[in-house]
Parts: sequence; structure tokens; C-alpha cells
Amino acid sequence: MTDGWIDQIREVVGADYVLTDPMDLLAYSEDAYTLYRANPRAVVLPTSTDQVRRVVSILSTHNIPFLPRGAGTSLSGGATPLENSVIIHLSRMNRIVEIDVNNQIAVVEPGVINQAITKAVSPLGYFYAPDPSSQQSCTIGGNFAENSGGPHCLKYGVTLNHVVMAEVILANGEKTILGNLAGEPDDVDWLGVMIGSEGTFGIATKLWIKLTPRPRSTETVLALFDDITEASQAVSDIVAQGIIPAALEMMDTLAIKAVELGPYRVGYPKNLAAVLLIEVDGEAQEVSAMAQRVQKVLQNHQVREVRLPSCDEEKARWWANRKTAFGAMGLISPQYYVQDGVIPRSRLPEALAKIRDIAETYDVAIANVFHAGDGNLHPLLLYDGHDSDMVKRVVQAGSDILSVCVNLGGSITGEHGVGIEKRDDMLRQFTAQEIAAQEALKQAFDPAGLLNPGKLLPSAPTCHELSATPSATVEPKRGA
Amino acid sequence: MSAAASISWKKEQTLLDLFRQTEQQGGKLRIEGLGHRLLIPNSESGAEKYSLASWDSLLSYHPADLVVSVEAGMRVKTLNAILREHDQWIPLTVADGQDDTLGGALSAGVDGIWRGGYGPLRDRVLGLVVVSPGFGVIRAGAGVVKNVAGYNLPRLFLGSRGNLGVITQITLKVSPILPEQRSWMWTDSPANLTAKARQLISQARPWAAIMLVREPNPGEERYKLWAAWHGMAMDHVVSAATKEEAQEEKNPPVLPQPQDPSSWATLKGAVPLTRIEDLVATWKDGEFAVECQSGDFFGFVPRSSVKSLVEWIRFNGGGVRVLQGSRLDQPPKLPDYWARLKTAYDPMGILEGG
Repeated sequence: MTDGWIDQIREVVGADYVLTDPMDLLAYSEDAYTLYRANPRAVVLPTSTDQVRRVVSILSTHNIPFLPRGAGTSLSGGATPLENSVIIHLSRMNRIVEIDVNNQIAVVEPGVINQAITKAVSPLGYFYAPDPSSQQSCTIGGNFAENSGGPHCLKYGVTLNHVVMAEVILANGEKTILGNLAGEPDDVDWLGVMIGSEGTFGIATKLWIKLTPRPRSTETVLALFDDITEASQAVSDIVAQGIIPAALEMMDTLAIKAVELGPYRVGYPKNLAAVLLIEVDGEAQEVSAMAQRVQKVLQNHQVREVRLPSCDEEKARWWANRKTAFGAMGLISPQYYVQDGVIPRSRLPEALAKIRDIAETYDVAIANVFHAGDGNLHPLLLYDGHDSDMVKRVVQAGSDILSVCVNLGGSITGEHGVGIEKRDDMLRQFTAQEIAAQEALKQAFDPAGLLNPGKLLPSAPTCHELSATPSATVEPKRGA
Repeated sequence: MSAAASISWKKEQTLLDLFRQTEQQGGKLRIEGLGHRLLIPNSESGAEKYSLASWDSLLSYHPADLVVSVEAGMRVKTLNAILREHDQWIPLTVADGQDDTLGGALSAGVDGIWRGGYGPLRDRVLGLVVVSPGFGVIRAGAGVVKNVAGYNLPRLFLGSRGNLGVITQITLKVSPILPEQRSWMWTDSPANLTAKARQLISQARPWAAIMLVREPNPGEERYKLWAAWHGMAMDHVVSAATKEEAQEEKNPPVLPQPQDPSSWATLKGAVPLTRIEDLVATWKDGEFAVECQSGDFFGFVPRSSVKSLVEWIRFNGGGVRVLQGSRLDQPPKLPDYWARLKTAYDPMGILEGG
């Protein structure tokens, strides 16, 4: 029973672009957070802002919940449809509309792949700075919704710092423009409020993003350690020395084992405790001075070996090795569960020790691959989904890791978002009053609660309620 | 139990009591810092005034994390004196040279001359403690440099002038003081100076600041370009800067306050890079400074010219706010979501934005 709304939507986007076949819908029942699934009521694939506006108006009029979806790479369930929602899939809105070099801005539709932007502007001497590890497939609209980061956000900032203006369709179908070409709010920074709201305030249909001049020089340093505590103290000391690297990444023993089984082998010696991948960039003289300082700090922390790349190909291999680390976990474990928490950088040694304790307590193998420079941990908890007891232990261990982050003065998520995964964990970080203040913001933008319901706030329906929805299923699944 | 549940907010309780009193009296309340950035002076406001300028304690400072937490009344210069002991600072120098409280600067939406080299001030804000009539004491954001837990509440309170709640504590990302610093000044026509700025940017980037300034000079407009480099190395910049006649000048130019403040307004904002020269040509009267890498500007304009200049800036893709001295005759229509937020955060409407 659709009360005719589905036919109205077919008239807007064309019948071929409204999916209702259960087999088609199955493909949209989850994103990269694979612990929960829920089928959408329908999937709509618009091709223009006006189509999105009209579709949202129809859904809003009929009080039907809906959510935007890009490439579905959210690691927290942001693009999983709850409450029998309709998915508005923006993959057909994938044009780079304009590249304005003089103002250092690109105008893009939400379905443009992150990495495609840098490819397009690279010949002009620019790049798009936020570079999530999924940048080969994730879309800029998804980045906008999740406020995505990446290795290079240590120096360059996250999506919030790189979007100056957005065309947004609000929950009632109204089109609005937030921000301006200068990236300067006239009053409240509504654009800043919208970015990272996980698709619960509005749907971005066009984005004006900053292009960053490509640095003239870059130096990459690979540091091999026998002691993980020394490695993590080196991270803190590098930044304390006044050096802000473009990226400062870390992998531990188990992570190194996995990536060395993958396609981009670096040839790390056996029995390493940790590896730091450090990149500094800027003017050539600056880079040279910074790289020397970095190496001096490393020497003060008993580094076993420091490598500089002999050629660009070698440097590219080091980065590919790091960026494919999550996927490489599949080479050492049937499944893995990636956590995402943040701690103050100086507490890194303490946090890693506590994670080791948690691994022992729950008898779970945990690999660490993370953005060390900004204290953004990504413990990868390895498990076998056929072992239900192990699944329970993994979930509990992940939860304990978040407690460690909060107790050390950090956050339950640095870049993966809350989504479905961490709704209840919000109560670890915020009081009931603080949650209520956030609910008021949601209410202000979406009084009817139609946009991406069930996400981000702990008052949203629980997983138990979810399972009562006829089309929804909740079951552990294979890791990504 | 969340980390905040056991914190007692003694000082914040003072504000909650004040909210209750104001509500009982059916009045309005206006919170301020040093009062430098009030949109209209207290003499023209019927609201009760309460200053947070004495709430100026350093709450925590972790140099290794480049993070500091302060009370809202902490002055920028006082904080920078503390940070300097660890070779760190908050890059906030407003073009008029005034010292601000951090709470006042953030609440009013102030930014400074270093935006081109160090980014906007708002991007440094990691967390806030805010007191609102609707929700009491709440923490917004977190104390770490990366955080996407929940909605970005801090952005609601930056530039909203205390209309939704009062900022009482601030956690900021600080920057290292880089070892090599030098700065130069040129005096010339605006066209030549903007060309000079482009040349500097093409030879090295980012500069800490490249500021084009129109200074008071009776009978004739006078323009200066001040460029500062902060880095780890210097030689390449020295050769770029000194190719043409340059005078070393350590301190940035300071815009003097208008002699008759009652007939002037202060504007703050930014224009797209391609509109910088147009802005210089359009700003008919009054002193101003514009940063050439970011388009960020600050300056004084006769109150009678505010409306037309604001309209020009917005039409040309810029953003602007009147920082001081005048309400717009026809302020932009506020969105529905603003009204709903105001109702939730300040249900009795007692907070009057400063």
C-alpha cells in the first residue's frame, strides 16, 4: 500500500530509477557497518537537485522516512535504512560542475567520488585534502554527511574545514543555500552545523569545496621500532617539537603482519613492534628542516631503522600498504570489527597498553592501524562470526575500548560517526541534558523526524525495536 | 555514567540563578566580556548586563597535545603570555589591535589577521561549556583534536552572540610558535600591492599573513601591504620578499578606532579571492584591512554605508557580519530552524544577544 506516493516519485525520476524489487533492495540493506541489516522500502535514484527536492516533498507529505546514500562506505551504519525508510541514492548526481582555480573552489555534485576530485584538479596544481581510506569509492556527499577525515587531516583538517558552501534540501523539501564562496558565516555557522550531521538534517545536492595548492615538496619517513611505547612517545614528541606533519600514521605488529601478506608489501623485517609513516610537506627548505627534526626525535626514541624512499614508486607503495591495512585483515582473520575512538595524543602509550589488556581479558586478537598524529585510534578486533561466544567478546572488548577513550579525555568516534553503531555509546560521553540539547537541534531541522531516523541519538529506536520491523533483519554478518 | 556527570559547575550555577531571576522579573539579560564587540551599546539596550570578564582562569593546558582550556573571560594576550612559555600561541590578532576575551571573540564571531596562514579562529574550537536557560550546563564538542560524536553543537554558539546560551569555558587547539619569523611592509597603490601579494604567494606559501591595509591619511588614501612569514626555514622567503623595495616591519599595522564611534560601524567578514581588489575599490570611506590569502577583512564604515556595503559583499559571494555599532535596517530573514532552536534553548526569551 503506497497511497500513490511511489507512482508520484516514478513520475519525477522515471520508473527505471525507482527500485522496489526485493532482490534490488537487498543490496541496499547495509553499508560498510555489517553487523546490522534492514531493507529499505524503496530506492530512488534522482539525477538533479530539482528531482531530489520533489522526491523529498512527496515523501514528506506522505510522512515517509528517508535517507540519502552515497557509496555506502559508512562504517557506523549511517546509510543503513531504519524504520522502513526510502533510500535516495545520489550516485547519478556525479558531475564535477565547475573548477574555479582563481577562487580555489570546485563545484561538485554529491555523488562524485572523493578521489576523482583530486584527479581532476591535480594537473592544475591542486588537490582535495580530506582523504579517507575509502577515497577510491566513497562520495563527497557521504563525506559531507559524516564529516570524513583521513590521514592528511592532521595538517589539513577534515571535511568541515574544506566545504565553503552547500545546496541542501531540508526535510520538508525546501531548497536552501548554506555558506558562501568566501567560507565566512553571516551569523550562525549553519553549514558547520549541517556537516557531519549524518544525513539527519538535510540532503546536500551540490557542494562548493576548497582546493588546496599542492605542496611544492614532500618528504616521507618510515620509522621502524622494536618498542611500541617508544614509537607512541615519538609521535607525541614530534608534535610537541612544533612540527605538524601532513600525516603521522602508525601500525603495530599484528597489523604489519597482515599488510605484508597483501599486495603492497614493503618488506618489513620480522618481529617489529611498530611502524610510523610520517609525511611532511611544504616549501622545499621547510620540508628539509622538518624532516631533519623528525629524524632527530626518532633517534631519541630508540628507533631501529629510519627509511627515506628512493623513488616516488616506493613512497606510493608505503602509502598503499598503509591504506589497504583494513582490507588486509581478511588475510589473517575470517572477520574483523573496526573501532574508532580518539584520545589526547600524549596518552597514546597508556591507551595502547590498556587495549593490550583488553585483548588479553577477552582473549581477542587486536591489530592497531591508526592516525597517531591526532590520537585517532582504529583497533581492529579479529574474530570468527561462526563463534558466537567470540562475537560477544569482541563486542564487549570494543565497548571497553571506547570507555578507555572517554576516560582518557577523548571521544567515542573521530571519523566513522555514531550512526547505528554508537547510538548507545553517546551516553558514555554526554549527559542526558547534553543529549537533549542535541535532540533539540535535530527537532529544529526535522520536526517530523523523517530524515535518516534511528541514527546518532540514543533515544532512537533500539536494535530490539528494529527487529520488530517486518522488513528489517538484525544479524551478525561477515566483516567488510 | 558520562565523564561530566560528576563535575560540579559552581560558577555556572551563578548564571542559572541569574536566568531564574531574570525570568521572574520578566526582563532580559545580556552577557558580555570586555564589551568591545557589542552590536549596540549597553546604553541603548534595556537588558540587565552581566560581565564574564573576571571568569578568566586557565583550566588545563597540555602543551604536548597542543590543547588548552580556559574560562571565557580569559584575554587573548594573557593566554598567549602563558602559552609562550612553551613556544605556543593562539594566532588571534584583531586588526584594530584590541585585546578580546576569548568568549567574547567567539560569541561575536571575531577573527584576526592570521586567518590566511593559520585558518579561521572557529576551526580551533574543540569544545565549549555553555549555559542555556533551556538545557542548563552542557558540554559541546570534546577536548581532542578530532571528534565527530554527536552533532557539532559548538558551531551553534560561535557568532550567535549569546542568543542561545552563554559560553563559559573553551577548549582550543593551539599552534607552535615557529622558529623563523620575519615580516616586511610596502607602501604603494592598491593595484600594485595586490600584485605584490600575488607574487609573494606564487613564490612561497602559506604566509602567516599578507595584509592589505588602508590607513588614515587626510586628503589622500594610503595603502600598505604587510607580509609575515612563520616557518622552519627562511632563505627562500627573504629572496622573494626583498626582490623589490621592502621595509622590515615587525609589527602588523593597527587600524585606529574612529574618532566618533557613534557614526561608524565595524564590519568583519570575507570575500572570494577574486573579489579582493573589488572590495578595496568599493569600500569608499573608512580604514580597513584585508588578508590576501583568505579574503578575510575587518574595518570601519560610516553607519550610513553599512547596508549598501553589506549587500555588495553578499552579492559577490562573501560573508559579512556587523560586529559593532549598528543593527541592519533589514536583517536577513531568520530560518524556521533558528526560531525552533531559540525556543528550545531559551524558552522564555531572556537572552538578548550582545
